[in-house]
Amino acid sequence: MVKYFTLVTAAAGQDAAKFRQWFLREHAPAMLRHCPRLRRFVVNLREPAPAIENMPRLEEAGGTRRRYQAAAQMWFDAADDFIDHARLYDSPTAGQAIGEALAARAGEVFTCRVTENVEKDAHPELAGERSVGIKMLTLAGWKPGLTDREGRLAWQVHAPLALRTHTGFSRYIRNVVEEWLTPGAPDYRGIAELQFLTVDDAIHRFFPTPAAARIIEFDTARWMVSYEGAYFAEYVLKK
Amino acid sequence: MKFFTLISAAAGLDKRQFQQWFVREHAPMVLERARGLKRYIVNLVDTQPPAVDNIGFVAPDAPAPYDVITEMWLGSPLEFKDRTRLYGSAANADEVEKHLAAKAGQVSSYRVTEIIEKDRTVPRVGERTSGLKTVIPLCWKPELSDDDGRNGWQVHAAIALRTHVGMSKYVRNLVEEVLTEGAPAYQGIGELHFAAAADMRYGMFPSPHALEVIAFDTARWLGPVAQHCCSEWVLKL
Repeated sequence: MVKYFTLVTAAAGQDAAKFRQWFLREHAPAMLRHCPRLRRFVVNLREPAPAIENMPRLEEAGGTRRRYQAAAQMWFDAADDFIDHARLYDSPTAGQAIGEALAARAGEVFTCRVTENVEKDAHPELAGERSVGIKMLTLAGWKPGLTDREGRLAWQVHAPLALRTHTGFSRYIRNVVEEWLTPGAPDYRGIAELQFLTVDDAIHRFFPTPAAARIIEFDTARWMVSYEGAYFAEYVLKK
Repeated sequence: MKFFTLISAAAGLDKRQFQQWFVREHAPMVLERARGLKRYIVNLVDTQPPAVDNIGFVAPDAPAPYDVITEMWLGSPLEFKDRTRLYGSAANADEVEKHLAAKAGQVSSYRVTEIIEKDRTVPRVGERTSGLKTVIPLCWKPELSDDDGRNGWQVHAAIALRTHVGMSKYVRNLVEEVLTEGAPAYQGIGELHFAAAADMRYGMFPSPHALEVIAFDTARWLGPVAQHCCSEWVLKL
């Protein structure tokens, strides 16, 4: 399976909450109806960030902060099933209508192909419903001076430390960005998915102790810059 | 509280004979005199490591400088540092120390904090533990602070557990205090146990990528190391 992420901001002047509802209630169902080769489809809608205890200081990347209101995850059997619009949509008309509707409401739309590394998965999901708990997406880049290979290796080293440290999460997926498909995309090299069964798990057991925060801060300072870390409600629309 | 002592045979002594003397004669003397010992392990550096798979491009280790490595557990630092308390009397301490000095060269002791990352071994008192054990005195890269070195090793522990699937036991010992004047200023002592030589051969670096990720990580924090491939004798448990 090939996995894609699409990160979407609302157009200037759009009400963010209305945009999110439109994305979930109209855009996503249209995708499901007209994309016959879509194997799995997850939509994430922005939520307020909880106040995380012991939150360490993560090195931030410079540049524009984007407030993504929606993040879609799509899986296909082959890359062409997504890239080739003649294969993605069941008709040119449907494809054009979906594209135009999104362009009318969205601000920036960035899509990338990723390699998914599932480090932990103990999070239940029900097709068509909002998943329990909360999901954090971290959009990460590599620290200046690191090659892409070094950044990937460093994240791989980080993964078991994260599993050991972030005792509260129920799912942890490292998505390594392989290519950006949209021009002008920020230089995100990885998208981390951290999911918690409850908001309390995020608040109290993301960084359960100050020592947990310190070791994560030490490690990430060697390889990661954070572009954004945002919280989302997850909707698994097709399993 | 745990203490390591790194011991080399005196110049000119046969290492094998020294190791056998240590485990058969000296260690029993220590056990008899040091009544406060809670645990006592003697590691003889007498084992040939197998050719580890996928280790092709790593620089060869320096020769192992020690012939015997002991581990002692006591109730407090003073129970080790005060030779009279350790061996029961000054006369006992003189006897044990003279006994060792007659055959040993360099003797360096360290107080450590023991962090057991994994333990699936089944030690038996008085017997050689099956398999083999590597003991690795180590230093951080010179440019790192002690905190950064310790953090680097802590991060490493998690990837080591995931990667070195053949290990049956993994212990990180942080050196808190160098107890012997002039002893090498090691900052940590690693212990890796393998239940069989084949577990080390095939389970240390199960794939070329396993070696790549470990080499990448250790290059960030680990200085030169000397690997001691040992047989372990648990003399008190």
